[in-house]
Amino acid sequence: MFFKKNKNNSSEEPSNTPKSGCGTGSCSCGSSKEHGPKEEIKGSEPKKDGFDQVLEKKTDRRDAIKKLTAGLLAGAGLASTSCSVTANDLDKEMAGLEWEEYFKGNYKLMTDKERGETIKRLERMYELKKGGKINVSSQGAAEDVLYGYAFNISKCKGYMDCVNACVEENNQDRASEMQYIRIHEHRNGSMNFEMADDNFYHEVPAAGHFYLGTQCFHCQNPPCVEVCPTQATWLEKDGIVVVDYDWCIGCRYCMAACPYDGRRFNWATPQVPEEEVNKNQHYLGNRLRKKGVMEKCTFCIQRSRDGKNPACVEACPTGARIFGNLLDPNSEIRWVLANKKVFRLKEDLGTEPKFWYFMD
Amino acid sequence: MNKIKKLLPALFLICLGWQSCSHHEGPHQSMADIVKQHKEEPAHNISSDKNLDELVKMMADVQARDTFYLPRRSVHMVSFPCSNCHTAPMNELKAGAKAGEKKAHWNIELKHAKKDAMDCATCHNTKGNMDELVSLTGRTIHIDESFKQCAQCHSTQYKDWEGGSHGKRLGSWAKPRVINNCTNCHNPHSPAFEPRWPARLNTASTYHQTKEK
Amino acid sequence: MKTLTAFVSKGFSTALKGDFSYHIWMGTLTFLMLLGAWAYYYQLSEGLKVTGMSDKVSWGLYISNFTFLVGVAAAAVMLVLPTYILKDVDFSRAVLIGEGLAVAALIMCLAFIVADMGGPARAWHLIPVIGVFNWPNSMLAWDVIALNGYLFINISIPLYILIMKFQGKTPNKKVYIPGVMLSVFWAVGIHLVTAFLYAGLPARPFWNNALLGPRFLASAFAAGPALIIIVLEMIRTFTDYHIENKTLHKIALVVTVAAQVNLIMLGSELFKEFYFPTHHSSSAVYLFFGLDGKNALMPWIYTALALNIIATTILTIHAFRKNFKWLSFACIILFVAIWIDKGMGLIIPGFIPGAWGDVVEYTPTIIEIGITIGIYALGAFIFTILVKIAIEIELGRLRFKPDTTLNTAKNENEGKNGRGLPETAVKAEGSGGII
Repeated sequence: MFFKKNKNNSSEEPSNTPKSGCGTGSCSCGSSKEHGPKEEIKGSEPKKDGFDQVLEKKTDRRDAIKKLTAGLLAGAGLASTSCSVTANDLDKEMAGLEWEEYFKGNYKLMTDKERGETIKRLERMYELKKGGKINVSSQGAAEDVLYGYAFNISKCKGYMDCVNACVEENNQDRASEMQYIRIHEHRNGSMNFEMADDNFYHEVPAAGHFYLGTQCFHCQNPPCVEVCPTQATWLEKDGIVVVDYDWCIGCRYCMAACPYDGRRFNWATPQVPEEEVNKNQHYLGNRLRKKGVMEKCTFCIQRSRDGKNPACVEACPTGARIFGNLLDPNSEIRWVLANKKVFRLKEDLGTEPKFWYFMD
Repeated sequence: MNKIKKLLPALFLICLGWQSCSHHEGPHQSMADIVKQHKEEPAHNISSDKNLDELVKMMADVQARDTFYLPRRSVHMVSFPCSNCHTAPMNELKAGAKAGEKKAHWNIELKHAKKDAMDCATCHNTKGNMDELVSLTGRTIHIDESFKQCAQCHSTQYKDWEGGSHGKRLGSWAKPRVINNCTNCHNPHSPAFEPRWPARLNTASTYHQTKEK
Repeated sequence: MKTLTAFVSKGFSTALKGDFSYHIWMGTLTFLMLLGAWAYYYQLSEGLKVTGMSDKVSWGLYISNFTFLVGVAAAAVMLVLPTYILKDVDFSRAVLIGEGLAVAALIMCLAFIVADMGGPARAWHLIPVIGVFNWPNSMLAWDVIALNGYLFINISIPLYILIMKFQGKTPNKKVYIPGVMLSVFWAVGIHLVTAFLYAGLPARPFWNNALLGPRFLASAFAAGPALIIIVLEMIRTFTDYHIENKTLHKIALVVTVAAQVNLIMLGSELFKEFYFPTHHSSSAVYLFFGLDGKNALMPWIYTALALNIIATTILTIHAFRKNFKWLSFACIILFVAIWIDKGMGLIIPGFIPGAWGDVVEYTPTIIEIGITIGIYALGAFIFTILVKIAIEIELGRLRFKPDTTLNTAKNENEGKNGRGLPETAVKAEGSGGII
């Protein structure tokens, strides 16, 4: 079953050419950096299966289309710029960058070189637009890391500090008050979400209530990834479910498929005041989004891949949030799994969330 | 012609069946299995990158799991060391006080256990070296290792804290493990968390419905 | 090539000609289309926030109508099947209309999908080869193939037949019968695939239901032919294209059986949801009784239920079904009933209550309704043109004459119904030689 193979591998971080979508991609991994341009790799590796060829052809064709249309546009552009007085070099540069950005491929299938180029473009575009500098990272998944999260429902008091930290860290839309985290206030004696209040604003903790937070659970078998028609969302090797904001077409099928309300959609252009923009960004994480694309919690990929705890964990005043490496037998998360009575939500759906709940 | 007629729906079903098989023929690994398989120390080189000099190094003794670090408390306390003021034993200092004068530490109200179970001297050394805490059996405990004091009564919380389900990890999920001491979160004189207003309104469930109005 | 150009140009000029009421009709449709285009422009510039959709109810009027129209398109097969394969002459006059309807419905489907997209400019990511196509994992990828394939088939078959007749030749059965066979199974396919798009989501228990596919088929085979009956009645009234009573009676029989099966399935769904309601029945409870005091869909669903039962009863009683007035009435209310039932009544409650039990309701905005009306107007516009040309050719009024001047070759018509043109043209000319 070739596509099964494809599916498995697609979660892996490609380190070189678009061929990583296929089963044999690993044989040339690592060697590509020294080889540099794609032509050389072609030469150094004569044997390729059909998948490689299709994928490579794909980039070639896209390039061809890009060149063709770019030519047309250049013609039109010349005509218009020659008449307009306001057009200057910066505008032209911006238009060029936007053009390149529009025709770029899916991040998952990009080579390291292509990734570097798009990041350079994004940083430059921000500079041209806002004047400020941003730093966009493309740091990949580390070996032997699988992120997991545990939430202590006897500790959470509903203070909502995590939500504030999350919004600020991840450059979420301020206009619509988008939030990845939802804190549900449950009455003691029941854990029926339909009865819970997740819109509270009163002194907390309210007597006779307990608090439970939900967000993206980073399922190991994520239905959202399964349904995406363009593979714009996928499971990274370190277990983080990410979205390529520039590849998403905004069909919202993933949103319908998510049983945990883990996904958020940009119904309008997101608004983040310039002074509040977190400039330390990751391509798959908190970089600025546009209207009509999906986004979600990424376990603060820009922080976690850097060794830091996600913003919500850091902000939590009660220590209800525990984050760590599931593959490290000495990690706190592993201790919780081994020593506490844990449960997950909607476990019957077989989604294998990497987000556990427990009590003291 | 009839053959084609019969074949087509079959083909269609095979296609769909094939597709649905892809989900279950090689079922995804359960998290329990993934976790079970990993007993070795991971190979990545991400580290928490803390300045360890400022921290107290602790070896977990009960769980015997791993080394961990605590922030130093003594360097942040304004009136530490206590012996700056407490030059004489408590009864002498008390005797010197004038009637009606505000006593030192007047603002500290002990809201920790019942009155008959605990007073200042349960933790603070009033007889010997006042810079140190004192255990129930009269042994001294350094102020930076105050968790040992707490652990005497709160043994369950202590176990959880050392294991990782209680307390708070600082900065990084990676090694070395740096965690808050008990007193970094809890005021030892009033350890319960006070109720307060949430930092913000929870809007995740009403998004787009309320924003226009 | 000459034939093709002549066909297109003559077809175009036919589409332009008509009596006063025809121009009024087309003018109204154009106006509505422009209105829809303006609304879409507004939506494009502001983002989807101008719709009533939210993170809770993330699909609304567009996807509802898309789902319904896939059914209408699939139903064209009910006419194709007997005409071409069972050699039932009665249907042959209706079949071109049916396929025209399928084409119009499919174009509307695609338009609704585009209207629903957050980034229509990035839609090329969906195109296999230049984009990344998540096939076979994503049911939406299946649907893209199914819909476009079906559109192609339904354009090329009638076009081939019409071009042959246009030239005064007899269409070659060896050419079109395999296509017809394919379209028959494809029609079932598009509808099942669309049903699976929803049924494959365990996150939404209201959809995650084995009966969804079969019920889609049953309701489609009721609503589609019902619409065809209404359209044929109108064509009989407004044009001199003759359609025999027998044809309508036969289609009515199809509608009747499908409506009956649909009701049985509806009954079994209702039984399952309400005999012992579980947590998974919340959506059905919301739909039929309301949740947390919110019950926006209640009037709609009871209307649908009532209309559905009345229509099926009328159709089941022979005396009523044979009477054209009753038949038309039953078809209209059945069509409306299924439009509610399978559009808003299926898509919206799937999201209510949300993943964590929150009841957030959905009401379409004016913009959304405007775009929807615009797309329906587009469908009606295309359908009218297709049918007009088809009728003219069928009646023998529109014929290819070699000496015709070909100066009027440029036209817009090509863009609208011309997706399959080049291929069919080749086919047509090739087979023209054989005959």
